[in-house]
Amino acid sequence: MTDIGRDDPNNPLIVQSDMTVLLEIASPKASDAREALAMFAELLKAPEHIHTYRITPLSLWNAAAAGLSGQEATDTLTAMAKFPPPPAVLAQVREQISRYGRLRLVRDFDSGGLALTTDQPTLLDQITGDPGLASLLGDRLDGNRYAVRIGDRGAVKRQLVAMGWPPADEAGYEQGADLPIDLTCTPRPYQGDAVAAWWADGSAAGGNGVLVLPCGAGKTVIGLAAMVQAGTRTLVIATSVMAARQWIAEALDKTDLSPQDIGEYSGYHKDTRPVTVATYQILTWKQPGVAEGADLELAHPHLSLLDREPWGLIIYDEVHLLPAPVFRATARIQSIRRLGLTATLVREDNREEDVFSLIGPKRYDAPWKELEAQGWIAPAICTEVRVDMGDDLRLAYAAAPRQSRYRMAATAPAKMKAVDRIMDRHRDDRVLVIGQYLDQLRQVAAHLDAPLVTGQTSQTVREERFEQFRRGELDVLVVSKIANFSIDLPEANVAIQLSGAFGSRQEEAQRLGRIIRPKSDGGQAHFYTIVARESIDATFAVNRQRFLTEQGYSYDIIDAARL
Amino acid sequence: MDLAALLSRVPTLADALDGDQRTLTHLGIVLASPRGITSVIHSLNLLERQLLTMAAMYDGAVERTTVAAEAGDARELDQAVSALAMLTLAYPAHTEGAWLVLRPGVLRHVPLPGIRIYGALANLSGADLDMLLQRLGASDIPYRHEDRRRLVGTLLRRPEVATELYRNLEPEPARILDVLIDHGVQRVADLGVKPFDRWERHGGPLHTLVQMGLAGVDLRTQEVFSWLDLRIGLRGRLFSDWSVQPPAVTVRPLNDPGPGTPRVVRRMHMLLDHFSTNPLPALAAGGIGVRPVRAAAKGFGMADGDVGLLIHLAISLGLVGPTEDDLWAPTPAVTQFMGLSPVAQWAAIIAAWRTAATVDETSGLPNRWSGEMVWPPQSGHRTAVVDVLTSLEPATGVDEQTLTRLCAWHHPDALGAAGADSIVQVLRLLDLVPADGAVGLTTMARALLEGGVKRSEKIVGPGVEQVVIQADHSVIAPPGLTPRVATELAAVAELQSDAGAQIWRITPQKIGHAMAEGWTRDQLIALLKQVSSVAVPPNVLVTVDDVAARHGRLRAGTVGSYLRCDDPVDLSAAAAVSAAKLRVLSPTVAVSPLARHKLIATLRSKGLMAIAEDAEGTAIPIRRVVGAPLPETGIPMIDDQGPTDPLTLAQDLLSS
Repeated sequence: MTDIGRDDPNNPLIVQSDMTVLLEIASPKASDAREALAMFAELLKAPEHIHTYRITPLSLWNAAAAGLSGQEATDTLTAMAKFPPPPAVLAQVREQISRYGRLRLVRDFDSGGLALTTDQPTLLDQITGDPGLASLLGDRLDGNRYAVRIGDRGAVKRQLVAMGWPPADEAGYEQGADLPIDLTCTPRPYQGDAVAAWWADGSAAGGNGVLVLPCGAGKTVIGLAAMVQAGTRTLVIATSVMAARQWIAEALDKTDLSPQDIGEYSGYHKDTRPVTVATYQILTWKQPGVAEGADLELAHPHLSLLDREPWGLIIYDEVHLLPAPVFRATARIQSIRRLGLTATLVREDNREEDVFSLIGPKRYDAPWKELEAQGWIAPAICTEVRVDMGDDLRLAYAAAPRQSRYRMAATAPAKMKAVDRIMDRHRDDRVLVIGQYLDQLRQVAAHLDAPLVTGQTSQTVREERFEQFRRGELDVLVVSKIANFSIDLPEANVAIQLSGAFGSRQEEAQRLGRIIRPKSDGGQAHFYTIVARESIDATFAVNRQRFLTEQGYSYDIIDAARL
Repeated sequence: MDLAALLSRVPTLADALDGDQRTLTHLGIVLASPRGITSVIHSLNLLERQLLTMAAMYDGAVERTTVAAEAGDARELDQAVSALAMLTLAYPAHTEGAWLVLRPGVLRHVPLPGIRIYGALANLSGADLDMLLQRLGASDIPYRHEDRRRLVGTLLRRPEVATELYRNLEPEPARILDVLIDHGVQRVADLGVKPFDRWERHGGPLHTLVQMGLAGVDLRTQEVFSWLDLRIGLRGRLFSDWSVQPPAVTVRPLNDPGPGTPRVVRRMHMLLDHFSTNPLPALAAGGIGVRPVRAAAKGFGMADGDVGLLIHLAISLGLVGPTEDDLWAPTPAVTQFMGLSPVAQWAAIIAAWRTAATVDETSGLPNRWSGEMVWPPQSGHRTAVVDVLTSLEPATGVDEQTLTRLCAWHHPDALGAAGADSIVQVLRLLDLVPADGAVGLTTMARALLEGGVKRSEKIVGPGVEQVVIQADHSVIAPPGLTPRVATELAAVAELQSDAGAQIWRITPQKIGHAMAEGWTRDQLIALLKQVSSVAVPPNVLVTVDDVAARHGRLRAGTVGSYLRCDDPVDLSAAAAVSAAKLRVLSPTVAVSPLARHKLIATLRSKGLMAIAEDAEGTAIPIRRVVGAPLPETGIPMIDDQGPTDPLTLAQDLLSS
């Protein structure tokens, strides 16, 4: 019998029986281990000392799609582990990786449609016992193949993923109309790596998937580089009109496209050009009077944009927010190359599997702190400033109904003094004051004599104020939650958060993302969150901070009086 | 004789030879003793047990053709016979004429699946035995009583004799005989006949069977039985099923948590810690009752049986014992126990379980302790189950049904179907198998059982006393965290994952709970700084400060009554009445330990006209609360002296 000895204590991994893997950052082998582990495990959190990864069927299928074998994955775990990995984990890794690709979706040249094929006829017998899948399959062409309608390509993939048998989609793509395009800037190395991982040399195995990068890491440039790589008509779907216009501005700035090549498809304009930037809102706009359960295109007429033009590429910005109707429409257009961009794959609706099967596997992931260390995002100092509510407000707060307590605490008047003190600290900086409640924001804006941008502000005024801020004509801007996503204000280096959306972890990260774009002077970013002590505001603040602390950021907690 | 093989098959034999008794002579004595023979029989697998039974049924010697007629012609039969010879239960093949011949003294210890007529006829008179033999068609009747009894069995096992007897039966006795042959012992009532009375004049189907020597009745329990010999004669076989090979096993991957300090050690520490502050009250009979066990189980979120078993093991290890105050509490042995490495502590707990004489898993896990020994002892059964698990491939396991089937084949006595759930629960509790999923030995358990404490310690490494505390309030403890640190950490953090390394999270709730249990802010911070191998993140310290700042600001207490008054002056006057024992909480509210009516009476006696109010503040009429005696009615009062002693009453009556 072989000796069961303790593995190298300098190894950085601890493989857990619940399929999580702990990575000790202080280990000299941590960098190698991270690189190898990232291929088949999801980074769950990356606090300052020990990072946590989770091995899931999805992450293993992602790895298999990228060509990793089960043996390579288990070798990594075994070689890098500080203690012998649990055998069940190794067995599970081998099993799940071996599942990917045992079923393949291919072109069937006899029928002109698609076929689901495998080398193992018994596997076909096994999976076709599922009624959900059986209803999507056509005739059995021979012992190894079932016919699949072209329109059911996405639905079949989604069903197979749900059954635990992810197919390799080798049916290829439609090329779309050609669009000669080139970048006028040089992408950063990690941006180039990300696009290369997605493109996979133009093979049928690539051309779809999701790239995960921190806020401020230049996801728009990555999208543009993907467009250059594909060289075809492209539809970009963004979260808002503001974000859409920023995409257009960036495309004009960083590619050789002319304004005639780029169109906006939103509530304001309905331009369809070789590169069209649409919003989720317009695509999911619902025709009034249409009954529930009606045909998707009848209910959401603008979804026809997805297959109205000969697109060769569709880019989904902030893919973690992709709404359900767009998912359903995406299931039908699997022959078009797809790229998802996001800072986090965590979806509040737990539809990560749909992202995997319909948009594609995760192709690239870069930790925040890693990019910060390389200087691609600005280092940030996070500070929680505690204020007292005052006796009167405390009394009112204690007696208030539960549902109104957060608002009372979040809008505590004492926060105004804290804002003043922070502003005193950062007289020469570019400050964003962000909040949830409009009354509070109006007061702050009036108090600081700074312009306010909210959802009620017209699009023209919004853009004008953002532009003034970019040009340096404004030092302070008070913004509501509309600034959570995709607002590019690279010179902002201080954010003051007054209130948030009930402890949403993503929101805090997105808000930090507004200020960590690298600064021209290489300076630091400062993120302040002002919370009312001993209230639900403080409790929510802990929840909000969790995502960032898990990404390696630490918070200084100080009293407003010490500012 | 392959002595090593013999002792490895029957480890209890080795245990029976200690010190200077380790000689062949002594082994021979042990092997020839009833205890030795029983031990060896308990080590047999199902096939060997069936062969032994067949040989016993055929008076100690059976031919291969007889067995093969039932079991089929399998090579495994010869191997099993060789094993029986090696185990000294039978003679080596062909040395005594027949294929399988039992050694002297063995036959009487063979457990049979029913009743052999040889034994049932022991008290039958010679004349009655002759009559029975003549009825069975015997012509040459032997002289000795036991030979005649053997002959009865031999005749009943012959198909032509048994069938002829059966054919002569009326339908009802035949029906009853079929049931007895196929299903064994039955209660008379279940057979649909009247209770059996041997003096019943009119008789009945049971009388017919008994008179013909085809069945017997236990008059006390009113149970009817037939003979195994007759089953062979009528059915042509003793066993309905022969398993010449172990059952096929489909192994499953194991949820092995990997190296780490077994949770049971921490649980034992928690229990000991709990019992040191909350000793268990002793029952009048001296044991430990259900209530404190349930209370502890509820407190720790464990099953009653789990806590009960740990208490039994703690008592076995001498860690918990009775005090002079009729309590059960940790003993000084705890200090020595805590001084052991975590793996050594685990090994001690496992050893205590394997030899535990007060635990019977076949009837569920204990939820009390009475000190009564279980008979027969379960240690052999536990060893058998562990042996079956050890025989599985490393890193694999089986489901509970398969474990039951494997045990039924390898050690038929070890694990009844009823005991499977309990024994698996114990194995999981003791971390010998993973907490969920397939049942198989964990890496740590296999190392411990095969290589002892040192080998287990080698896997898990030295005990870890330092953890990593991070800004997201997580605490990462590498495998091998000592139970002492784990127990301390449990005061301030919730265990979120125990899948090898432990992941804890420091929460305000746990900190608040720790403070409620008496920890101070400084102690908590000192603890965090002491156990953390890195600087404790400032925000974690702030969390402790936050909770400490709020802790104890709201205070609750028990009072007998309160006194309120809108005028502080009046309240001050009331507070000045010392007999009212009032404590002023605010200018308009005071509390007293006195009951409401006593407080009011006291105040009114001093001229302060207090009244009572209900929960809504409505005044209650004074007579209902002050409890003033009713006015005299003139009715003579009965002098109630309580119950009268009958003897005293009788004496009083006599004297009157």
